[in-house]
Amino acid sequence: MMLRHLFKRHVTSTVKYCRFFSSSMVSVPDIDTNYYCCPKNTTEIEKNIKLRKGVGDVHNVLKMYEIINKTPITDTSYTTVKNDLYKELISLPNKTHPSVLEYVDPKVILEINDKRDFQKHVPLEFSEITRRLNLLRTDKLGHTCGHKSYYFLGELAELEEALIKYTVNKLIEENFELVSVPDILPRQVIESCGMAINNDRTQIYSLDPVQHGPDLYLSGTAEMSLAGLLVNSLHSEDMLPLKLAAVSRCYRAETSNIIEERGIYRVHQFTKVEMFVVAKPSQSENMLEYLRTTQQELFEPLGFNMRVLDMPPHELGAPAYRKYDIEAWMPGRNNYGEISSCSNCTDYQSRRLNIQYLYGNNKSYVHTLNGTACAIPRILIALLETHQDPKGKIHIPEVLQQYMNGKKIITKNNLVPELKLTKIKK
Amino acid sequence: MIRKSLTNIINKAWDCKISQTRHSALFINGAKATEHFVYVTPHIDFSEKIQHKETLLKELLRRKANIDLVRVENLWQVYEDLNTRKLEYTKRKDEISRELGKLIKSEPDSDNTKKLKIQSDIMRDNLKKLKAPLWSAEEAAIVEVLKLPNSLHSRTPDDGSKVLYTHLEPPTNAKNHLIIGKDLNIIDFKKNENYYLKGDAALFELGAKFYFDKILKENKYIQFSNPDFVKSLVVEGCGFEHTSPDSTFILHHNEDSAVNIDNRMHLVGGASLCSFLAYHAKNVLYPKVLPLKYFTMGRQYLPSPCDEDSLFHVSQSSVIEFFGAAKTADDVDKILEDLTGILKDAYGKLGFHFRLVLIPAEKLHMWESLRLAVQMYSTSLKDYIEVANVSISGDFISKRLMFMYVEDKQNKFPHLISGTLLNVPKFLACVLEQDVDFSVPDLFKVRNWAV
Repeated sequence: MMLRHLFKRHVTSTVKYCRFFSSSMVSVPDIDTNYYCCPKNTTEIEKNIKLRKGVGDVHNVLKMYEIINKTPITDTSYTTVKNDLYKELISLPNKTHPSVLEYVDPKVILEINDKRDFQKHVPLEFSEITRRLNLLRTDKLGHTCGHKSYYFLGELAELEEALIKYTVNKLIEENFELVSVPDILPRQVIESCGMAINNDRTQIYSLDPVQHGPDLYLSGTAEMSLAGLLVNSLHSEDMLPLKLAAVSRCYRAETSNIIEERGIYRVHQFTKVEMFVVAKPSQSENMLEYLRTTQQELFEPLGFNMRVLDMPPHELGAPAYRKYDIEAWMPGRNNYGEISSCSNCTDYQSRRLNIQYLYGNNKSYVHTLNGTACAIPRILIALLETHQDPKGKIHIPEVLQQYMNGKKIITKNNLVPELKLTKIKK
Repeated sequence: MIRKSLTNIINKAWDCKISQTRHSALFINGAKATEHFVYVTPHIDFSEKIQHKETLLKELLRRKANIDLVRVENLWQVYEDLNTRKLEYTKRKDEISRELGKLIKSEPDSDNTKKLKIQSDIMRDNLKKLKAPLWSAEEAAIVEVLKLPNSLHSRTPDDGSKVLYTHLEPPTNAKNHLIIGKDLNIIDFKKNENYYLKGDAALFELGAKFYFDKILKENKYIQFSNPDFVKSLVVEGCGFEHTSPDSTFILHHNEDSAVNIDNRMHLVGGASLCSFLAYHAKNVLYPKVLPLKYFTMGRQYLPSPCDEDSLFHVSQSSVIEFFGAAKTADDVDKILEDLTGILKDAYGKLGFHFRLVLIPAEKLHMWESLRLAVQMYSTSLKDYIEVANVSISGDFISKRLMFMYVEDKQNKFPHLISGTLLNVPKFLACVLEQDVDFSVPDLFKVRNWAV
C-alpha cells in the first residue's frame, strides 16, 4: 500500500497548523457583528431563529449593540456591556442553507439497499437476538456500573472491532488523517462547539469539581476533542481541506424512557469513529456532499436498508448550517433509527474557536464540518436485525469477514458462561 | 455482673477510637443498611488469617505496609467479644423461654415463674442495648480489616525486581519521546490529562491494539467490550481507595439526591480490572466453566501520579486488559505461565529490547499477591518502564465482591489473575526512544488488520 507516501504528505500538511498552535482559549469569540447587529438583517435573523426553534433574541442584541456604541471604551461599564452583548450573540443559531428553509419535514433524498424480505419469519429485536445468542449483558448492572450499562461478549465484541477496522481503513484510503483524542475536556472547548452547559442538569458528564478541579467534562463526541486540537490555529490555504478522523469513546448523560429508545439504542457511553473537516468557505458545500457520500459508501456494503435525509431548519443544532441524517431500517424494532449525521457548521465553530486560514496577506475564518463514520451501538442494531437468520444465526456482511478472521456467521456464544446472582447476604 | 462486663467492652471500644466517620462502600451495616441499599456484603476471613499472625506480620513488613496489626486485632477482639456476648444472651434467653414455657402452665403465679419472667426481660433488654455497640464495633473492625493487604505469592521477591527473561539489549541514546513526537508532528502534548496522537502515532495506537487482540484470540482468549463507569463498591472491592481523587476519577453527582461518598460513579475505563469485577460481583458460576480467560481493548483512566509531562504519566491510556478466573492457586499459576509465553512471543516479534520481571513485595498494590511486568527501557528517564503486567490476586477480590462458584454444594471463591497486557502510551514512548528512527512496525500496519 502507499501508506508511507500518504502519511508523509499528511505530516507536512499538519505542520502548518501546529506551528501556530497555542493552547490558550479564545477570550471573546469574533462573532460577525456586521451581520447580526445590522438592523437591515433583523427580520431575516428573527425568522431564522423562529424556524429553527432556537434560542436567542435579536432585538435584545440590537439594544445592547446600541448601548455599547454609545459607551466610550474608557467607561467602566464598557467591559460588562460587551460581555453581556457577546453572551447574547453566542446563543444565536447559525444561518440556514437557503435550500432547506422551506422544509417542515426531513426530505428523503436517497434510499439505499432494499428492505430485507423476511417472508413468514418475524424478525427479532436486537435485545432478543443477543439474549438468545448470549452476546450481550445489560441486566442487573445498575449497582455495579450504573444505569444502562452494557457488555458485548465474544463475537459481538469482535464485530465491534471489525467495524472500527473497516471504517478506519476506508477513511485512511480517503486520505483522512487519524487522530487519537482525549476524552476529558475543559469546559470552554465543549461550549465553543455550540454545546450548552447549564449547571447540573446537562447532557454532559463532568468530573467532581472538588476532587479533580473545576470545569472538566467528558467528551460527548470526538468533534469536541478535535475542536480542542484546532483551537487558535491558522492554516495555509493550499493545505485545505484538512480531513481528520478519530476513534473515541463518547459519553452522554441524557437519559430516555421512551420505548423507541430501549436497549442499547440510546446509551451513556459508546465507541464512535468521527470525521471532521476544516475547509475554505468556498469548499464547504462540496465537502458536506463528500462527507455524505463517504458515509453512504461506508454503510451501503453493510447491507441494511437506509434513507438519507436532508434535515429541516428545526432539526438543526445551533452550529449547523445544513445537516444530512442517515436512518437505517431496523426490522426487529420495525422502525427507522438514526445511525449518522453530517453537518456543515460554516464559520459558527471557527469563530468561537479562532480557526483561520491564510490567503495571500489576508486571514479569514475557515468552515468546519463533521460527520459520523460509525457509531457502534446503532450500527450493531441495524446489522444484527437485518442479517438474522430464522434459525438464530447472524450472517456477517462480506466486507467485515476479513476483519473477523474469515468468519461468515455468528452463532450462539457458549464460551462466556451465563451468570446467576447469589442471594447470600452474609 | 453482665452489665458491668458490657460497660467494660464498650469502654474498650471507645479506647480503640471507633469513630462515626467511616469510609467503606463495601461494608455497610446497622442503621446505615436501612438508609442505603446493600448490594453485596464481603466475605471476611480475618479469623482464619489472624491464626497465622506471624506470617501476616512478616508480610506486612515485606510490603512496608503502614498498618498497625495490633490495633486491627484489638478492634476485631472487641467485635468478637460483643458477638460472643450476644450469642450468650441469646442462648440464655432461649433457655429461660423454654423453662418459662414449661412452668407457665403448671404454676403460672409462682415466684419461680415471676423470677424467670424478669430474667427474660433483662435478657431482651441486654440484647437491645447491645445492638448499637455491636454494629459500631463490627463496622470499626471490618472497615480496618478490609484495608489489610492480600497475602504474598511464594514467588514474590523482596530485594528489588527479579529479572526472569531479557530480550535484546537496551537502547543507548538519550532521546526524549515528547521531543521526537513533536518533531515528527505525531504527538500534541498539552499536559498529562490532555494529549493527542496524530498520523502515525494514532495508527500505531490502533495497530498495536489490533496486533495483541489477534494474538489473544488465536490463543482462545474471549473478547469483551466493557462499560467505563463503576460504582464505589467495586473500586473498594478491587482494593483501590474509592474516596481518593488520586486513585480514580470521580464523576460529579448530578442527581437531586444527597451526595454519599461511598456511592459514587467512577470513570475507570472499560479496559480495567474494576470493569471486569463489575461484571462478576455477586455472581455464581458452575465449576465446569472455569478457567475463564477474557480480554478487552479499550480505555483506562487513572489520575496522573505527577506533574512531570510525559506519556509515562498520562491519565488516559488505550490498553489491552486481561481477566482470568480459575478454581485454585495452581490453576492460576498455569494461566500465568501460559500468558508469560504469549507476552514473550508477542513483544519478541516486534524487535525491541524488553525484559520480564517479578515486582518486589513493597511495590505491589494491596490487592496483588504477585506481579509480573514487561519492562522496556526509557532513554529519557534512564530507567525501565512497565509497559505491561499480569497480577495474581488469588481469592482476595472474589471474597470482597462475592464472586463465587458452587462445587459439591458449597460456595467457593475463584482465584483471579488479571493485567494490562499492553499500555499504548507507555509502549509508544519507549518505542520512540529506541536507537532506530521511529516508524510504525510492520505488524501494526493497516494491511495487517485483515486476514
